[in-house]
Amino acid sequence: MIEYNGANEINGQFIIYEGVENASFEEIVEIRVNTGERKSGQIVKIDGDKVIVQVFEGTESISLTNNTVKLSGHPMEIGLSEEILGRVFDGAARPIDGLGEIYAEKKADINGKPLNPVSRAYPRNFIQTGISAIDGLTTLIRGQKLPIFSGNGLPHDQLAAQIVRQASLVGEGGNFGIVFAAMGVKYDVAEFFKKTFEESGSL
Amino acid sequence: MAVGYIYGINGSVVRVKGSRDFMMSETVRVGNEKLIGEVISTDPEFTTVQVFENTTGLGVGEPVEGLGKQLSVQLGPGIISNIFDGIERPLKDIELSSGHFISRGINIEPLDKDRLWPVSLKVKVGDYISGGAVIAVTPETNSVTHKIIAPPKVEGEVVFVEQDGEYNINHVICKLEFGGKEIPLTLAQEWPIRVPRPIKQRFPASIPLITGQRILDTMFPIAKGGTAAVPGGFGTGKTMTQHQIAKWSDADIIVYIGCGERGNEMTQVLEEFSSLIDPRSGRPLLDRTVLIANTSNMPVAAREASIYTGITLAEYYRDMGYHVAIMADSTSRWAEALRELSGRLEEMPAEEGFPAYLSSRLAGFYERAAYAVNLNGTEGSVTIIGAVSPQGGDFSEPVTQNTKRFVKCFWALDRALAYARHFPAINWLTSYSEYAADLEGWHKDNVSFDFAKNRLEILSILNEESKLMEIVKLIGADVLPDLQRLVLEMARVIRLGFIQQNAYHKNDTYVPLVKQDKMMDLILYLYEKAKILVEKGVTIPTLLKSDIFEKIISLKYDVANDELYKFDDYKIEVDNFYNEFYAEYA
Ligand SMILES: Nc1ncnc2c1ncn2[C@@H]1O[C@H](COP(=O)(O)OP(=O)(O)OP(=O)(O)O)[C@@H](O)[C@H]1O
Ligand SMILES: [Mg+2]
Repeated sequence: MIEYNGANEINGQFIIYEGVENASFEEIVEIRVNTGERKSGQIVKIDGDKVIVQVFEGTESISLTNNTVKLSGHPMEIGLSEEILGRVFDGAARPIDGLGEIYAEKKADINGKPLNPVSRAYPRNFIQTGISAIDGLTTLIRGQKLPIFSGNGLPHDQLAAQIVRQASLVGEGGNFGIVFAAMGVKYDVAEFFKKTFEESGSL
Repeated sequence: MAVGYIYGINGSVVRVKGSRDFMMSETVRVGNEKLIGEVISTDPEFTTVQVFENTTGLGVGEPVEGLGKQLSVQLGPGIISNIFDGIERPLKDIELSSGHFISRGINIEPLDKDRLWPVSLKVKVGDYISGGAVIAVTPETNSVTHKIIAPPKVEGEVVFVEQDGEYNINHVICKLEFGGKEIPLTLAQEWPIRVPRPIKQRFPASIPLITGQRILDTMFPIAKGGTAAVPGGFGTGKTMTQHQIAKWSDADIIVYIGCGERGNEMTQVLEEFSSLIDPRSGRPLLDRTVLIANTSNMPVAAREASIYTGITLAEYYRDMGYHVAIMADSTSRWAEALRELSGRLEEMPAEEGFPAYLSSRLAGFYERAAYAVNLNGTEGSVTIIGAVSPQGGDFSEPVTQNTKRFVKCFWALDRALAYARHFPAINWLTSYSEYAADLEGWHKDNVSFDFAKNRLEILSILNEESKLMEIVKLIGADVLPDLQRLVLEMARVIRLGFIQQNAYHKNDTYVPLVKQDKMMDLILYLYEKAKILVEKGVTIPTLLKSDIFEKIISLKYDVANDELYKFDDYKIEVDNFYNEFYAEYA
């Protein structure tokens, strides 16, 4: 894997590198800062030998000269296996619960592939949330989506946590899993979620 | 043919170097995986290509190969009942070859090339034919006879005709000779999606597309060959309206484009349309329907193309002499695709980030609607009905506003009505149809002499209601004179009994024009009689003791489409009500 030294321009969360060869679109790169820090990013635009990288962990502490970038040759992938159940990850799928690495049975491109519309079955079953306002009026249909609109100071966190604790398939058995993603939430909110899910056994 | 290499990548936009031979709108194969793309601009240094598949992993330096032809659709038997993606790739075949998820770089012909079609030839050696001529026919589905027509630009003397028999789409069934050259014709032809197929002449609108939806057919009718927009905030009923029209309208062929909306809605069409029976042909609705799906999770450049793919298929069937209705749900997602591509091309954004050419693109699309005399002299039409999803239901945004300039029917969906579960939530005060006057003659000749008059009276009662409601809001209904209170009561009967239409009720989901007219007649007859009673001094509370108002409101459920004789009984009931109340109170 080739490494390139130094950036040409840094602006917000973006870094421009020049002289990069064989880049591919949405490829994951690793940036090593000479402070020892490592950051990951993704190529969001290519123009000849110039690439624009979006840095996931922020560009703080990066200068035009103090870093090298290494191309990974593949888009963002995460390792998957049944072990991920009950675990907690950061946005790049790295475990943050101190329980060690995941032994990946397979790698999956997070960009996925579009589901063929003819492969869909029209959704008819539902997921019971145990919240009567949802189950009765705006049923959560399996294979569908249900947004919760909220605002500052409203108890959407509690509601979300309650859904995770109580959600179940009705009647038949079958496998049922929950993926809960907390994005841009404050530390104490994240802790609240973790604690509730641990206590209720959802995790 | 042009071969270049990838120089730059920005989402679905790829810049290519190394050849000056690419032509505009040429189909290209991009990268090692041979993703499908289209040339959108070219200059001595770079050619810019939009790629119809996800470009993740595409690398600089990979080859880009021109196919030497414009982005085209294949036209021939096998289109109807099928479901294609935005560039006419057959989704069922893709499922067979790549499973439930759509892989990249799949190279499958749009139409099944092995299937044999029973063909009867319609020309003989020595005939001189030109573009549009019907060469042969084959039953495409149980409801649609597919006419194999000579491609628009060819002409010549027939020098060979195949015998009637079963052939696949690539079989040469006829040869023409023109200028010393032989032109072989098969069951299939190609046509570039961005070029309208030629017609001989356009006719002004004069025949309605009958939808079976009362508020559309009577209040805001659309003509065959016309254009309509269905704008509305989320959940107001755009998709439902489009589905209802796709199901029940009297078009011969339906082209349904799911453009950036939910995959489930396509599944629903596939499932429902194969079981629902077309009241006119007695065959499943799917037998006259073709679906184009670029759902929200499918690549954005193909969304831009899906609209053109759909309209080209529609024009092809129009050329056979069919009436085609095309629905696009939602043109806003298409406009957003344009915006995304334009952004990636680093073009100068205009209003709300949409490109400055949004309006001309919309115009170009809606202009392809027409009631036409085809090259072969038959008449056919393409009617376009586009859903518009303005953010926050705000109709002042660019897509709604620009669409409004080019469509002649505006069926404005209203949040408040939808919220009150008044469906279809089409607001009768803000909607309009510029065809109503053009269609009066047809209605007079084919429905009833009074149709236009009834329509105006119904509309005027509704308009008066809205004016009176201003007063009622301020000081209440009690102070209104009884004649005006009667207007409010009649408006209620019209809203609940006529305009509201339940898509889920078997007697109400589709209503023929005759019944619509009889309903208007009856409501206006009741109004006429009640007005006399009120003028004679019968008070509103007294009138409302009669159950006739509620009876007429629920008539839509109680009288099935094939029980129109019952209207006579209702008329007698109105007479009885009148006579009774006249005798007792007047
Ligand atoms: N004519 C109708 N009869 C009965 N119910 C209707 C009718 N039209 C709409 N509805 C109701 O409104 C709901 C939402 O309608 P629809 O999905 O068509 O809205 P939409 O405008 O397409 O929404 P979105 O913006 O989310 O795509 C339907 O599920 C249905 O319950
Ligand atoms: Mg919809």
